[in-house]
Amino acid sequence: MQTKDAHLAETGQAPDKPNIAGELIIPVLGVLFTIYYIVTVLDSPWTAQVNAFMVGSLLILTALIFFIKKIHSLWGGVAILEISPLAVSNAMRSNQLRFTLLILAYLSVLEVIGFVLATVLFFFLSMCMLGAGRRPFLKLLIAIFMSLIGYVVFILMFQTRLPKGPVETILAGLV
Amino acid sequence: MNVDFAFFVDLFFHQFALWWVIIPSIFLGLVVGAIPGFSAANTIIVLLPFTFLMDVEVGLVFMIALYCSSRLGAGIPAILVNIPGTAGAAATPLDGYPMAKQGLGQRALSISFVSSIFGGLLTTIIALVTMPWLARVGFFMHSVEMVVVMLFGISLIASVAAKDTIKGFIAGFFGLMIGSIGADHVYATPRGTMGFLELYDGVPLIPALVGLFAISEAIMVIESGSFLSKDSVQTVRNASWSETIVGVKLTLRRWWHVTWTSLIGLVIGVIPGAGAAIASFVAYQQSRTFSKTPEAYGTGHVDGLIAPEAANNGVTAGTLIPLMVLGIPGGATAAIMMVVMQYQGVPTGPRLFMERPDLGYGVFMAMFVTYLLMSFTILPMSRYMSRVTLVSTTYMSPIIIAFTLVGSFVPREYMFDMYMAFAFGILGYIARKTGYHVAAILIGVILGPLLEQYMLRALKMSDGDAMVLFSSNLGNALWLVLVVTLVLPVWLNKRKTKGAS
Repeated sequence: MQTKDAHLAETGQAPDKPNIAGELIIPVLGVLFTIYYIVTVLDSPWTAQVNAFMVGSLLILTALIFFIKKIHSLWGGVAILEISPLAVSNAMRSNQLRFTLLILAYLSVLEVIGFVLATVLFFFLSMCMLGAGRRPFLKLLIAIFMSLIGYVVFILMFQTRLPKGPVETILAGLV
Repeated sequence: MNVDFAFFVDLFFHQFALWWVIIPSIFLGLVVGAIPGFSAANTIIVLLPFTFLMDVEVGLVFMIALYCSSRLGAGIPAILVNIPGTAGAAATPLDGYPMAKQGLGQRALSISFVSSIFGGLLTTIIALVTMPWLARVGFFMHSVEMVVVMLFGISLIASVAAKDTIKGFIAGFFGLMIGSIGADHVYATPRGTMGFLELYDGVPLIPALVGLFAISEAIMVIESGSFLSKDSVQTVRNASWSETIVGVKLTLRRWWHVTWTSLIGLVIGVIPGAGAAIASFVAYQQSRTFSKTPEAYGTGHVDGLIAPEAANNGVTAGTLIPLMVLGIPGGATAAIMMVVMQYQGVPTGPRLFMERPDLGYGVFMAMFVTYLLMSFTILPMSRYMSRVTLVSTTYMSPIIIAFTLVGSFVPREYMFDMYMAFAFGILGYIARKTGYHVAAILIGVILGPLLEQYMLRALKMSDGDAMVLFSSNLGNALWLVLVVTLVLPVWLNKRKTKGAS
């Protein structure tokens, strides 16, 4: 375990001071969205404005109290506010970010190559990434098997109109 | 035809003879209930041509069994992997998932199944006996009263926020703001839609549910590689049948708790447009309010799991009452049943009980038999289902993501909804990582639009006079109960602290 002194030497911060940067994301998002929402209803009839002003003002008020509390804790030296380059680079290298990008890629290609092929690729790539590339053949088999289950359940049984691609066309000819 | 005890006994055996329809429907219902986006309603729609071909009685029994088991099925992924199958199970993971995380998934499932079955059986019997009176509840619940009922549900945000009040309220209000996206209820003015036509109808519920719970959870758990800690893995591996028995005993010992929370579900179910989500939130909130150990809620408390499960199964009988007695469907599934009945030339409303009492009462008896059969078919499965938590997240996370994204696509079949689920997933992930409760956001998203709708209706009728909210006797009584349930825990807590000091 890292000692207190080593941590101080590395970061210049005492180890027990929490960084409040992350905690601010949700209230900041909330306030920004509320302001945008209020702007969209300014010229609307009162029925469209009631919620914006009632709930919106409560959200802004609560967020303000939260910000004041956080500024107070920064002032008192019990918390820090920083976006550490080390934390950012760790996050960039994390499996979570890569996995999130894979989900986004899956959604992007779904309409182009169809549900089955996109799902096989998504399953295989994400399982290989999360499993550090071990047993790729098994993962490919699971990816194909689970995608076909998805095809049978969602497309054949429940008639969901998921995006179709070449595999669906071939399977439709076989079934 | 005489409607006496012998009639009901005869009806029971008659419905029991349809076990060959009920049991397959139970398993189908479990599957569709467990996958977010699929529900009993859209499954029945898909299978509508088959129900038209069936004898009307068999068709109704099939729909009833599917409906009941889908309610129960929605709690399974909510407990095991923190993904409610439907909005009605959104309060289930609050205590179910922490139990599963401790390696007590089998016990949690057993508690969920027994409270669902017990709640379902009890409310079905009550519905059979009190149908004509319960059906009138809807007549007394106008927009003013509904505003207070919604506030009961929304006040759960305060309970969820108990650990960090400000963060809880920020999450809840943010959820309410997100829930108010879309055209306003009176003049259809678009609000906060960011230019997306797909948001004019409001934020779709399933993508919000999928994103906030499933996607954020699937991303979270890949950090540790497992849903469970090493100790919990061992607990699950060592679990025997006795865990299921313990769950049964724990629930039966709390029979009174199951009873009154399922009654909340029954009464809310009778109100058209209310539904299982409100019932489970209200039941959870009330259960916590009157608990001797409110601080244990959210950590894997048995009562916290019983309340939403008993309530959302109490709703099933409730939603059918207005359909059967008055001919007014109380929910989507009930509306589809009405279509099938009309197609087959079966009347709904009072004429049904005069002309076909075997069908009118038979629907509720079929529900009773379904719950009874579920206790033999589903309960023993809890041991095997709980093993899902042992599967590595290497496999589980991608499967959860892909299948729940499909679930978010199903209700409207828009690709937009999949992106919406992804966006909610990111929001949920940030919220979890920074100590905000995703359940508080979801409560706002679910109940916000309903609150606004009833509030506007009430204000519109009174030309904008806010005092209309205090204009009815029933409404005022509900306000009083709401204030008591909000103040009571604070007062009890203070008294406890004083006593301890």
